[in-house]
Amino acid sequence: MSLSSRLARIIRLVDLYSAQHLRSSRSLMLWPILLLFIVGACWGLADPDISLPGEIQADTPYEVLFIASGFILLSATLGVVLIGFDGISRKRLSGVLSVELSQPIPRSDLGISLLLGVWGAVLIPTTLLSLLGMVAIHAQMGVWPEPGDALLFLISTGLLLYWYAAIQLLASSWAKDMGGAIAWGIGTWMMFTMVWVLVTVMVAGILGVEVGDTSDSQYQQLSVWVDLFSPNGVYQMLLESNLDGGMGRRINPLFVWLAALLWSIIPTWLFLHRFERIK
Amino acid sequence: MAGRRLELVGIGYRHRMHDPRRFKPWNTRPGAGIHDITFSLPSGSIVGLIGANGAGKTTLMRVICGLYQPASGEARLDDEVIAAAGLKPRGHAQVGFMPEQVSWPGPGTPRQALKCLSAMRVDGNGNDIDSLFKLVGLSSRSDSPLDSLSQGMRQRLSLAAALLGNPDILVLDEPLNSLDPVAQIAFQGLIRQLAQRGHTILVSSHMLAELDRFVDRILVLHRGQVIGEGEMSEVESELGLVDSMRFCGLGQAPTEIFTSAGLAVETSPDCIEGHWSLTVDLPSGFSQLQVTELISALAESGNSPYSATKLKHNLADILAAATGLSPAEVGLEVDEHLVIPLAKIGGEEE
Repeated sequence: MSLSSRLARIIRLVDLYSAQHLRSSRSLMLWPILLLFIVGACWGLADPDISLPGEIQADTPYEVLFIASGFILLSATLGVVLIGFDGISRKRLSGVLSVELSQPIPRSDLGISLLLGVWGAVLIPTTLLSLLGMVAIHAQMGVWPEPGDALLFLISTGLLLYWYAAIQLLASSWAKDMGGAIAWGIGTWMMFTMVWVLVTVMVAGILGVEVGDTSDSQYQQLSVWVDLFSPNGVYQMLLESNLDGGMGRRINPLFVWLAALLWSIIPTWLFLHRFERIK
Repeated sequence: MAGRRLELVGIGYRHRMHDPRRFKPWNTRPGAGIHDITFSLPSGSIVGLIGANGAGKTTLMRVICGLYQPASGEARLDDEVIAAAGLKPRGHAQVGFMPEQVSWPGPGTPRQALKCLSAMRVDGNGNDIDSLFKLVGLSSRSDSPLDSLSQGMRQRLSLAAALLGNPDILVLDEPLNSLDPVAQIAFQGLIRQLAQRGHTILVSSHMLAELDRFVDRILVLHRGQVIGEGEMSEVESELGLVDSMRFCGLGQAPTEIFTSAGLAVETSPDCIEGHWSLTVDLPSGFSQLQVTELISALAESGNSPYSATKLKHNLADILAAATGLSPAEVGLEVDEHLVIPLAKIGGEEE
């Protein structure tokens, strides 16, 4: 079978899987959450009269998008968890996976279709609402984000969602039951979203870096490197690379893009490797 | 439809069982499986795969359908190898699989489910979906939500999924499970209809009586090995299982009429007071005419039976005869360590 036919088949399946997820009640729950977190954040943060805590000042549309990315980390990644946590385990428990695996399609093609299907189901609303968020920023500030900045924001957000989709499906392929699927799904999301600071502090403690003062330069440098091992950290650093002045952390963008590449490859490879052997 | 011949040669597979150790919690060890399975499915036939729970029926079917990679041996469709040790597990366009009890969770409809599966095939245009729904009798519910389907309808949807692309070989894992008797009869008719269309069908069940109604041949699996193969009567006769009949009547049991005809007789324990009920073993070659003569003799002696029923052997009888174990020993215990070569019919005990 030619590569073009395989690609056409994958695209056809991704389309069907994404549509299937988008029709689900979970997806319907996701839309208002994303609307509130993305568009609401952009609207509120772009308000010239707003005073943010911690002396944070959003002066440009891109800075608004950057601060709003924190809300994406909470909402859109949770959306991937919501849709993907049982992406494999549910099919396995219901017997549908056996039917799908018995079809004449290479498992790698089926696996990548499932992955892109979950990704697409969250990427579509997130991208649409991010664009709406940019409209909200324009409405508040009277200026549009620079096209390059907007593109970087959308690409970085897309990558973040892809990493989460791969992690979720990998975790789902390990889960033996619904409880396990929920534990794996929420557990991985919580680790990167909620408890990563704890991981950073633990690593700092092990390496003898002072952890009492998080503004300490040695601690900050360490946290940058530790953050490369978290999809959220890499996402934030990708966005920081376009910030003017003091908001960004000091790290060579090459390392950040390298980390982004590895985050795109390694979870995907692990998932496909697992999917080839799934029973 | 020109059927193709499925042939399995020396297929072996062991499941990996979780065996956690203190310092290696992910440790596994070989568990139950199938061992040295060799047989072929004649084109256009319905072959029943029978065996107790844990005998390896589903494992064997999953190897054939490309879900498990065999550890040894190979499966061939005519000259094409479809599963073999070292070959990545993958489904085959000419092998349709209906797993046991797919619950088809929502959202979506049967049509959307089949459309998605159809898209996985090279010729996946989904044109034949309507005809498949018609064939399995699901046309009226093809656009209903999946959640609203009954178990019988879900089974029909699973069968339609197996029939996508019109495969030569159909592998049906326990298709009669959880169906009511009416649905079972309808399903059996459907399977017969598919065989008439040229499909070669391998169907598993532990319900021998149900299988006996529509299969051409049986394959007996026990502890992961084939211990008998052929037509039902052939297997029974090779195992030395004799036919038996139960006669019931009123008054005193006319045992001497049977014994004088040289027949072994046993009194049935569940007989009602004032009635008699005798189970009579019929030797090989005992014809219908001889049965009629026997009934006439009973009538002449004033012991006309009110019922004469031919008894069918159940799975336990066949397994007990094949293994030399008592039905109780054969019965319940499934030991994952036991993939031991047993006595094969017409073969030698290893």
